[in-house]
Amino acid sequence: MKIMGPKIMNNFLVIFIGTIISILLTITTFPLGNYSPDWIFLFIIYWLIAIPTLYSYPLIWFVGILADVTLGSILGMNALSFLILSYLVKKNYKSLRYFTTVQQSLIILIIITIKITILIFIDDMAETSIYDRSAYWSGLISALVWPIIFYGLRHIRRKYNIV
Amino acid sequence: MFNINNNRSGEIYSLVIFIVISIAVIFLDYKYKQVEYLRSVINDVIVYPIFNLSSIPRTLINNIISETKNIELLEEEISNLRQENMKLKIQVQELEGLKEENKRLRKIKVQSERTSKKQLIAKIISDSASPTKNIVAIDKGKNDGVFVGQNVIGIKGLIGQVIETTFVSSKVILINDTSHNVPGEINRTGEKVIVSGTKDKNKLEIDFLDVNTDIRVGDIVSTSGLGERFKAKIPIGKVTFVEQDPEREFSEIEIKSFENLENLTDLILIWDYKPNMNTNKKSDNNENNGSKDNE
Repeated sequence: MKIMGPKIMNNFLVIFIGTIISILLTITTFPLGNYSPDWIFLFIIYWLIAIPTLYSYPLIWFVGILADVTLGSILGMNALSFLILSYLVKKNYKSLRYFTTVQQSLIILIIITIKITILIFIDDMAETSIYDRSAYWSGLISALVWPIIFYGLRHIRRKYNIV
Repeated sequence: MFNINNNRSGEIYSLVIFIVISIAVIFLDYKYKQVEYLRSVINDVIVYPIFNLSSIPRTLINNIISETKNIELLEEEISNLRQENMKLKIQVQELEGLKEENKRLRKIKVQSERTSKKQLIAKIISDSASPTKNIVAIDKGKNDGVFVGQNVIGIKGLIGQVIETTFVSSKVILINDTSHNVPGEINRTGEKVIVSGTKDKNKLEIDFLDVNTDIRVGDIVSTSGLGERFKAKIPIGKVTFVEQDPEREFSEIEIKSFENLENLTDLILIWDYKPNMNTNKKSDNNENNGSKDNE
């Protein structure tokens, strides 16, 4: 079933381009402040649900570090929250796959809310005050954006036959 | 499918290992700034190019506009003149500060009022380099000698300070950020104040100024040099609104910055003032040490 080899390059490109696009989206939506969706993590969540083996934990950690550098938060904050939540998603990807888009959006809302809670917790401990309570809006906006990401990336996945 | 047990435990190990690494990195970054170098490298190699990518549309438009002029010599001349103009304007700023100071007939410790030695004009890569703070990214970094805490001014007045540098870019926090305070003084009376940012990007405000203080609309506020983070006598802005309700303890004062902080074009980095960074811990943007005592 699995043909490794030529696919590896393909997968690498998917991850590489996807990450760059998600960072680009993050940068361009900076002016929205706390109302901007969590693009980087939404991209990861999609691939975790679609192909759980695509992103390994070291890779998720690295993308998390990239997110930290982009957002200017303490290095490792986003990486840690990505890892913890990716574990939850990876564990439940089968049931997530059979949810409707609306149900998935609700799950996204919960996931991002947990993520923001972790970030605020670390932020409070470190006293950097990068995140405040209004950051929770990001969860709602992410949930609203999820269908776009879901159908967009699924289209790409089917078009380029990524397994 | 058959090897799943082995795989799973391997995955869990890598998960646990990387969670531990994350916590270690958070701790190192928070406590010891050891990973600052790593941040610089990642920023320069990956994030900076993406930042540039995101500014392509704007650069493209700018390029088209300048292409239409199509006279390179003229452009060069203009940039030369602009540089000279900026230098002159900086000198005028300083002179104006001096004039106001003399008016007060107050003996003040002599600051070195010489003109700026080295200065560099930086371009903005990104208007908003942070989701929650008023931070801009500029195209000059450690390679150009930029350092953390460096004062950033415009042709009309103070803009902010450098808070993070990588090799080819830096981040500048603007004075209109809500977490940012500048120790300032009112030129006319010499009253020491703290100028801080507000939710409104165009406005600055003075908190905790006694209602009996002599302050009027039209007064010019400049940096005081207290706290040793900003060079003295850089103009900040003009007082646009004063409300002194005797029932209350503090007056409400709004300031409009001389610089249009919402739409910055050119920033000037100055080298003739070295801020004292020892008193502050990392990522603490409050410059109000020492300037709290308003007589």
